[in-house]
Amino acid sequence: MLEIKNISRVWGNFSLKNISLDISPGEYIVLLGPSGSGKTLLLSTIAGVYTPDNGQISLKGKDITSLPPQKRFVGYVFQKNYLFPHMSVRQNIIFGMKHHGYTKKEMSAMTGYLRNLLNLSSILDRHDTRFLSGGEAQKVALARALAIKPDLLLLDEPMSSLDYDNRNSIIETLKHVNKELKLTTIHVTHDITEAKSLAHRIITIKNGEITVLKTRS
Amino acid sequence: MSKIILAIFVLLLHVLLFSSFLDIGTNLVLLSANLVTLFLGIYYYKTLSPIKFTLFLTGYLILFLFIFAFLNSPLLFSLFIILYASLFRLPVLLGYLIIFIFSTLVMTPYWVQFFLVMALFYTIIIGLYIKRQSLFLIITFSIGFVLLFIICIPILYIMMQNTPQSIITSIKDPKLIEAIKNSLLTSTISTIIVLIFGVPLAYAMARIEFPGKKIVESMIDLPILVPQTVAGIALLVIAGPKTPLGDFLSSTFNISIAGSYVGIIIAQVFVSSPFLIRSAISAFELIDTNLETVSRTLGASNLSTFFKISIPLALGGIFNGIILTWSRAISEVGSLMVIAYYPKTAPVYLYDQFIQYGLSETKPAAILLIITCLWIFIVLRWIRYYPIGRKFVRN
Repeated sequence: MLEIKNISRVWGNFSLKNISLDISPGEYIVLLGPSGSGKTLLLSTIAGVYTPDNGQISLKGKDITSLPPQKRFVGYVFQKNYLFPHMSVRQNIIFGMKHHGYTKKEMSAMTGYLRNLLNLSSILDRHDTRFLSGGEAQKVALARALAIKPDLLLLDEPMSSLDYDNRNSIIETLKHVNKELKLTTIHVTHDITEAKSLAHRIITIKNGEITVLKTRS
Repeated sequence: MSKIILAIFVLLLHVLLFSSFLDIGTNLVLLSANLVTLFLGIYYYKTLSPIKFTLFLTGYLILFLFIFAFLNSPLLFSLFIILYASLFRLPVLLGYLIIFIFSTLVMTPYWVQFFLVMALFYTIIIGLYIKRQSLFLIITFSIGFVLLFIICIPILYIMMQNTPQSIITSIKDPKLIEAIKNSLLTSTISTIIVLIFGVPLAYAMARIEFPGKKIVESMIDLPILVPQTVAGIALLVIAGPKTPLGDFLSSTFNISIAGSYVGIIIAQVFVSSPFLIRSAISAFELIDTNLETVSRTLGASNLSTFFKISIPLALGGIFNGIILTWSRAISEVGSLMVIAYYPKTAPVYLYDQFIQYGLSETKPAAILLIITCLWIFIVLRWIRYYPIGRKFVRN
């Protein structure tokens, strides 16, 4: 599904060193590491924000190493929700579909599907995303990423800015989404309990190097 | 009982003492004013704390010394003590009264303007005080207000110098109307040109780091530094008549920058561009670049991201820049005197009138120009904060 072969890249005095990963379809990978370990940089490199200096990334058998983010079909959810503040909830969700040439009918069908999947019915028609709670906003961000039917979902500490209740609700949502969509997911976190409750496989990263790969028993 | 004794005392004071140097009418007015003050004073003596009552007496004494004794105007004194005594329990209104007294008596020739600006200042300060804003911030604001004071007084003063009739007469001057039209047209075109080239530049400056970025930043600011006449001369030296570039332009495109709209627009673009570019840079810098990253991962190209995410989110700042650049372009005069005296823009026309006919002939036209520009400025600000502000400017 996702194959990363020996990628490395240098940013000033930090570098990702010879990272290789092989992720099978539908797998939920948690990338665990302390802050400053390079997990976010690795994720951004997979998303196409940065191009690696060496190595190769291929998704579904296709080499995507030098493709820009808009051509990779990768859903990316950040620590902060980064909803577009000048758009309504619905406009945020259909933003990606518009750029992938969906028809109006397809867009409303997909929106309806996501509403049911993520329990968005109470907030889907809100105009102002500023008044959403942290958990609600993060769900909208997730819906926006899922709307383009990505081949790969990247989650960069999606719960670290949420309180306890919201966190649990997002964990449940993510489990549900993974079960329903069988979507290959890489989830970055520094929280071991979060990692244990979600991962099929946990990968730890330290100083830009992958240290341990372990499968959940 | 004591009220009546005091009243009789005041009465006797007026009859015996003041009648010797005041005519009977004035004395009567003064007497009634003093009686009103006396009765209010007795009421205050009973209800207010001793300190406040002393303050009341001190105020009375100051008014007496200043208006009655120093300015020797018993009628004004009568008027002001009645207002003073009745407003004493309402400190906010009392403040306006004190500003009013001060403006009419001390700043007599400019009292309207002075009163308006000071009343505005006072209103803001009272508002801040009620909101329990910190004293330090109130003081810093007050220090800064001195500048606004210097800016507002001349503009307000000139606007109240002429009757509406004289302004209407100047509207009928076809040359002035032509000049104002020229100004509006050229400054609008200049602003559009700056917008088309400045916004992409600003975006790049906000997003990329490169060696020599500081040098490019100084280049952007250069027009603010260069004296306007020098800018005009520089443009003429490179592209004026009988220069290689000037000859090329006139023979190939049949345009000349000296004495033409093209020249005016080039000069205005030159002097006004920094304002739009600067505010657009700060607006783009305020946008979290992750919003743009998200947009790209969702499939939007760099161009779509620019138009659908970056521009809408920076629109408030860009619009501020448009207002500043347009204002700067329309007020340009120095470089235009060198490069394109004709066709005349409004500020050049005004200067011309001033040189030819003097100050009083120019005043109505100047007022007309101020009103035109101020009106457009207010409309633009309104657009910035209402329709655009509601839709796009969020944090």
